[in-house]
This record gives sequence, C-alpha cells and structure tokens, in this order.
Amino acid sequence: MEIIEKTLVGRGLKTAWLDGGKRGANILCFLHGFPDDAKVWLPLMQHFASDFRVIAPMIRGAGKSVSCRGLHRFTPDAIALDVLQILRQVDPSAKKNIILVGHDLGGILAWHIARLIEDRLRALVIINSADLIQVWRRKSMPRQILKSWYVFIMWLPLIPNILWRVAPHLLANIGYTSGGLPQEFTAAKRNTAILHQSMKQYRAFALEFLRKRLWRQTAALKVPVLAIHGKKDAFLLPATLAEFAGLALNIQLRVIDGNHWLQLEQTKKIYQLIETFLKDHKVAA
Amino acid sequence: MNSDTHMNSSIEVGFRKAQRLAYDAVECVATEIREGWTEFQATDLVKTYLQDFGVRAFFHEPFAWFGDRTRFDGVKTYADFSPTYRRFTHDTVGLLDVAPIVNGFVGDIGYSFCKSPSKEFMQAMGELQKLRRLLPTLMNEASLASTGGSAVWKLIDEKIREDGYDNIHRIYPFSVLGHRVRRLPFAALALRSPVPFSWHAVLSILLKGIYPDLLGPSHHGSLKGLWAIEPHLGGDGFGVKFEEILVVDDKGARWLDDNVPHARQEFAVSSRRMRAG
Amino acid sequence: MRLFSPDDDVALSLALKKQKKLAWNLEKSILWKRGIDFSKPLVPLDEFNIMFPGPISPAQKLVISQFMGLLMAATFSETEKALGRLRTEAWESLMQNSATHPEIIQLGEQFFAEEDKHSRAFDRYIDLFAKGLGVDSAVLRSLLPSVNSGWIESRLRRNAEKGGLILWWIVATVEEESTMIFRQMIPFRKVLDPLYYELHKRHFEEEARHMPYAFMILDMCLDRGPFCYQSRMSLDFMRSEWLKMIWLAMELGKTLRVRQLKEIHPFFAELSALLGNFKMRHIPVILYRFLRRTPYISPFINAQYHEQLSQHLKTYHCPRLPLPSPQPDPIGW
Repeated sequence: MEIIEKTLVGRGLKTAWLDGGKRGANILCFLHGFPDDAKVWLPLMQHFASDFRVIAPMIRGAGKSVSCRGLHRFTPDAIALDVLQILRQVDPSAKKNIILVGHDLGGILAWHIARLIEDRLRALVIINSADLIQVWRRKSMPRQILKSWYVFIMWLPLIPNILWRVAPHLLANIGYTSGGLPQEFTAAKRNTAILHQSMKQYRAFALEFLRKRLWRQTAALKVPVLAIHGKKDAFLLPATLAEFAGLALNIQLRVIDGNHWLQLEQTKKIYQLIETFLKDHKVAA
Repeated sequence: MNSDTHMNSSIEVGFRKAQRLAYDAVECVATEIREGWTEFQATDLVKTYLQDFGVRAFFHEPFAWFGDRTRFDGVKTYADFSPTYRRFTHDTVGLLDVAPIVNGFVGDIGYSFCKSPSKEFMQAMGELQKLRRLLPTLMNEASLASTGGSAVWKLIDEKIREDGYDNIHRIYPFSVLGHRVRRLPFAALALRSPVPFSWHAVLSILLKGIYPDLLGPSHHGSLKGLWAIEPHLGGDGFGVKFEEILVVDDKGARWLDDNVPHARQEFAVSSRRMRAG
Repeated sequence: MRLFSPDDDVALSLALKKQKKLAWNLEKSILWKRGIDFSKPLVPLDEFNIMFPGPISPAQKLVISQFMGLLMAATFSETEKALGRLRTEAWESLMQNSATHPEIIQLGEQFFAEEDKHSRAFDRYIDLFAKGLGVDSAVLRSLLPSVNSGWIESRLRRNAEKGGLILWWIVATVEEESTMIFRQMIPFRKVLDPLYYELHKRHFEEEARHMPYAFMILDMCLDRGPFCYQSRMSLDFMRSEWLKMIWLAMELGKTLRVRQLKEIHPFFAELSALLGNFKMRHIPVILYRFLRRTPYISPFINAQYHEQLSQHLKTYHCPRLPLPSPQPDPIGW
C-alpha cells in the first residue's frame, strides 16, 4: 500500500507526515525519535497498512517539517500540538480511535500525547523508550546515567552545535553503530540537518520537564500499554514493571534480545508482538 | 492630540492582531480539548500555541476553568483562579482566558465553549451576545455624558440580573466589567512574576493609577481609550463570558474586531430566564 | 533438561499452555481412596544399611523406609509451603523490579499454584499415614522436618527482601533433587506403596515441566544484574548450602523425640529401638555418611554436584563449598 509524505502549515510552520493505509480505519500513529525521521517506521507501517490508517509525523526538523530558531517548537507541548493538528487533518471529525507507537524520544512524546487523547486512544506501544517520569526515576541508577552520556552533551548550549558542524557523519555513525542500527539502514541516514535540529528536543524536553512535569500530578493511563525493550540497547536500560507505577494501570512489558532500533532490526517480531497485543486487548482496526 | 483620545490606526491594528492571535489560540485548543483534560493541560497548550507565534510575555498567564469553576464557585482567594486538576467532560462548559503581549499590544480575551452545548448554555451565550450589542451604545452614552463607567457597570449588572443570571464579574478583583489596555513597555522581556499577572501589568497599573483603568462600580473619569470588556454571567452550575477590546474615541464606541468567535455564531436570544427555585 | 530462556516469549508461552493443559488435579488425579499399604516400603534403601549397623530385620527395614519416605514428603511439603509464604518478597518484588515478559509472571503464578498443590498432596499423605497408624497427625509431624516461620525462614525473607537468591537456589536444589529421587524409585515401583509412588510420579511430572522456572529466575537475576550485584549474588549459593545443612541437622534431630512416642505405636517403638543402633556410630562417621554415602540425604546436602545446578554454578562463577562429591550407596529392595 502506498505511503506518501503530506504537509500542512501548522502555526506558521510547514509540518510533514507520512500517510497511508486503509482509509476510514482506526489510526496507527508512529512517532520517531532521534536522530531519525518518520521513514524509520516504513517497514512496520507497511505491515499494518492493510488494516489501519497509518501515519508517522515528521518531528520538527525532520523531513519536510521545517525547523526554526529557538527551542519553543521542540517542546513536548509544541510537538503535541503539531501531532494533534495532523490528526485533525487526517480525521477531521475526530471520531477514529488511535493507537500510538513511539520509539526513543518519540516514546516520550507518545506518553505525553496519550494523556491528551486518552478518550480516543485504544493502546499505547512504547519501543526502547521511557516516559520522562521513568527517566527521572532512573537518576539514581549509575548504569543508566552512563548509558545516557550523550544526553548531557546535548543539554549544553553551544557545544553540540559546534561538534555537529565539525564532524556530523562521524557523530551520527557513532550513534548508529553503538545503537546497533542494521547496516542496510545507516547508509540512508546522511541528513545531518535532522540531527542538528532534532538535538533541540533534548534541551526542550528537559526544560519543560523541570518547569512543569516534575511538579504536576499525572493520572495513570487506563489504556493498555505495551513496552518493548531491546536487551542490548546501548542507550536505555530495559524498564521494570515497578517503574510504571503511577503511569499506567495496564502494562505489558517485553524485553527481547535486540538493540535500540528494534523496529528495523526485528520488524517482523515487533509487528507480531504489537498485533498479538492489540488482539489480546480487542483493539480492532 | 492626546494619544488616549485619538486612536492611531496602527495601534488598533496592533491590538487587533494580538486579539486575533489570542482567539486563534483558544479556539484551536478548545477544538482539541477532550474528555479528561485538566485545566493545566489546556493552559499549557494555549501558552504553547502563543509562544509558537513568538509571544514571550503575557499580561496575565492563561486561565482555564471547567464546570462550576466557570462561575467561580469555590473561588475565594486569588490563587483559586489558577488552573487546577479539574477535568473536562463532554458536557462541561469551559472557559479560556489569556492575555498575550504581542509587540507591546495586549490581546486580553475570554472564550466560552461547550462540546455538547445544552439549551441553557446556548441561552446564556445569547444573553452575552445581547450584551455585546448593547455595550458600545452604553459606553458611548456614558462617554458623551462624562458619567464615567460606573453607570455602564450598573446598567449591565441590572440587565444580567433581570434576565435571571448571576453577575460573576462582581467576583473579579475590584468587581471589574473591564479594564483599560495600553501598549506596554519592555514587551520583549518575558518577566515572570509570582502571580498570574505579569510585571508589565503591574507596572502599567502603577504608572497610570489603578482606578481610572478599571471599569468597576465606582469608575469615574474619561472612558476614552481601549477597554478589554469582559461581561461574565453565571447560570446553574456554569458561567460564560467573552472578553474583547472596545474602542472608545471621538467617533464613538465600537468593538475593535467583529471577527470574534462569539460574534460569528448567532445564539438564540433568550426571553427572561426563569431561575430554578 | 531444557531450560526456559527469559527472552524467548514464544517458548515461554508454549510452556505455559502445556503446563496449564497437563496440570493434574489434587482430588481427581490421585487415587486417594486406595489408601496406604503399610506392608510396603515407601522408598528403596541402600543395601548396606549404612546408618544402622548390625542385623536389621525386615520389619525394621520397612520402618526405616517408611520413615525415610515421610521425611522426604515432609521436606517437599514444607519447602514448598515456605516458598508460598515468601512469594511476595522472593518473587512478586522480583517481577516488579525485573524487565520481564508477562509469560514469566504467568508461569510463576502457575509454578506457585502447582507447588502449593504438591505441598497439600504430601501433607495429605502424611495425614493419611498418621490416620493409618491411629495417631494424631501432629504427633507424627513432631518428628518430621518443618519450616515454621522460624529462624531459617526469617533469614530467607531478609535475603529475599534485599534481592537475594538463597531461596531460589534452594528451590532449584529441591526441584532437581525431587526428579532424581523419583527416577531412583522407578525400578522399584512394584514393591513400593502404590499411593506413595503415584504421589511422587505426579509430583515428578509437574516438577519436570516447571523445574526450569527456578533456573530461569536465577538466569534472569545473575545474567542481567550489574557486576556488583552478580558478585554479591554469586555467594548466595554457598549461603543456601549452609542454611540447608543447618536446617537439615536441626530437623533430623527431631527424630530423637521418637523415644517419647514409643509407647504410642509399634512404628515409633521400632524406630526408637533403631536409634540405639544409630548411636553406635561415631559422629565423624555419621557426618561422613551423611555427606557422602547416604542416598537421598547426601545429594540433598551436597547439591552443588547436581547436573543442572553444577552447570549454573560454573556459568555464573559461583563459589562452591569445599566438599567432595556425594557417592551414595546403591539402593535396592
């Protein structure tokens, strides 16, 4: 089934997304992470396209989603508004049910957006990611702090930009190789502009978390949540059920033998896990 | 000529732009708002929307009130106006109020909405529309007669109560029906203050004095200038308001912009509303 | 033995389905109404009667065998009951704090349900035996091992609360031991008490299916934990062996109470008389026999030489106690 890139102008900036699948069906919305764009979801989207309407927003700075100066368009709220506007475009009546799938930073966004569309949400799938509260809970885990070394660099104001201008391919390859991205996908990943712009998400997410999220109570999600982790993920320790306390009432956790980009490394396996999960929870297309 | 009495069209353009932006923000968020949203979530997104358009400072931070909080039930202190964890439901009335500063121009607006509007809600909105039609006339007459805003306030208060509603703007600080808006200095500075009103607002009030700028029951003095008028009615378990800028100058009184949400749709004008009990 | 991999959700799901499908029913799957044949032994014994020197009559041999069988039944029942009491500390918190598939949790639920069933089955046998002797069950149980919320259990609980693995090493030992015991019983099934044999057979069936669970829990903890955790946990096997030995010594000592019961029934009288024979051995000899030569007991004390346990100890570089391997005397009847 054909999946094409579409755009809209949302709040003054062009925002793009991949769109395809079965018209009129419920929506599977895929949120990519860093340093990816929505094309990282194409193999999985193809699997689901026969049953669902599949969309994958290009997060600000990726693909044709135009970037901008400053951090304000990279906060979870700003990206959430972009995604809500895309969903409004795809489903103007806002009647279709939604299943969110997020990977990496896209997982953080998926948690955030899930709380905004919970009445339409039928399931949440998180791949190699964690909610910001989970990340905060890991602050006393030395192994996680070591794995997140790159995040501390991203938080610095000028240095990551300088580093990226000096050696973008080298840094990107370090990330891809350590994350276990299959070789056949690394060659396609040469768009350094993505990396430079997407980095802003790290600062924006951290600032918004400290300003708002840390001090707010959040009700646990009632929708079923599937969290899939790669055992050998170089950037994240696999989650534990205890970590989800207060975040979700119905959580299924799966740790499989794999790296960070599970949706590319083991597309079929991830598809089967998601499909079984949706069937078990009677989430129809 | 005094800048207060002669409306520079570029100033009107500036205020209109700020007001439209503010309404765009609340309309967008009100469209997206769903069952389960807290007031915090609504105000966060209103603020984000405005910041996406370059707004860095606010005359006051966004407010969101759901359910009986739209008529300020239970509101006792200033802090009670701030957003809470109250959740929106599909039959709840919601109210969004925000005042972004855009290049020094304040777009202080208020917007009422309901996803499944009841007859009572529609009637109350009709009442607001009636007031909207009436207010320019009343302000113009008061301006010409130099009676000050207190007469307007009292007439509006009487009208609201006659039609069977509660006057909720009585509960506002100083019971204001509206307040003057001016172009603010230091607009580029996004100064945070410990209260939902910005330092710009505080500074503005201090420079110009409090009372001449507030359209309350004891207002005296000139009515010429721009006013953010915000009539607020209370029905059974809900409240509705609008807030937009009224221009009073030598040409008379008129709304700055007729392209506002509560003016676009015609609500049924209610006959005298019978209050329960 | 084919172990479960904690990462293989497909295999775990299949194992779970199989276990649920084949699980036996306590009431319907065992022919309780056949009763106990008191003329038959419960377990085959070593041919040389190493613990009891001097000539032993067939009646005495029968009593020893039956008492040995009851000791085993009580050991299984009590350790399985203790496991259930320590479920929250040893398992539920582990599931919460580990990255795990839901099948692992479901298999665990099944595991605990089956262990509880086994415990009740063995208890029921002991009660039937007491009834057959015409004595109160409590009287018989006063001679048998128990894990009664005492020092041992509190030690296990404290260790489990800190994320320790002593209990799981003990469970793994008992699991592997129970399957070994049944295999030893098979050639003698025609001479053994049919009810006791059937009980062990049923026990063996489920143990064989769910034994990999204990080893899988050990794998999950030892494989995924940080180095410092692994180092700490690797010592837990030795601690489990110590605890087991202390417990066994304390509980076997209860047998001496049989002297106070000799008037109640000839069974106890016979057993009491045999103690005299037992005391003819020197203590070092007794210890040596227990550690190396006694069927059922030596392998239980010295579990580090069990096949799967040994493999695990090697994989995770767990230190072992400096004990020679058990070489129990051949059994027969």
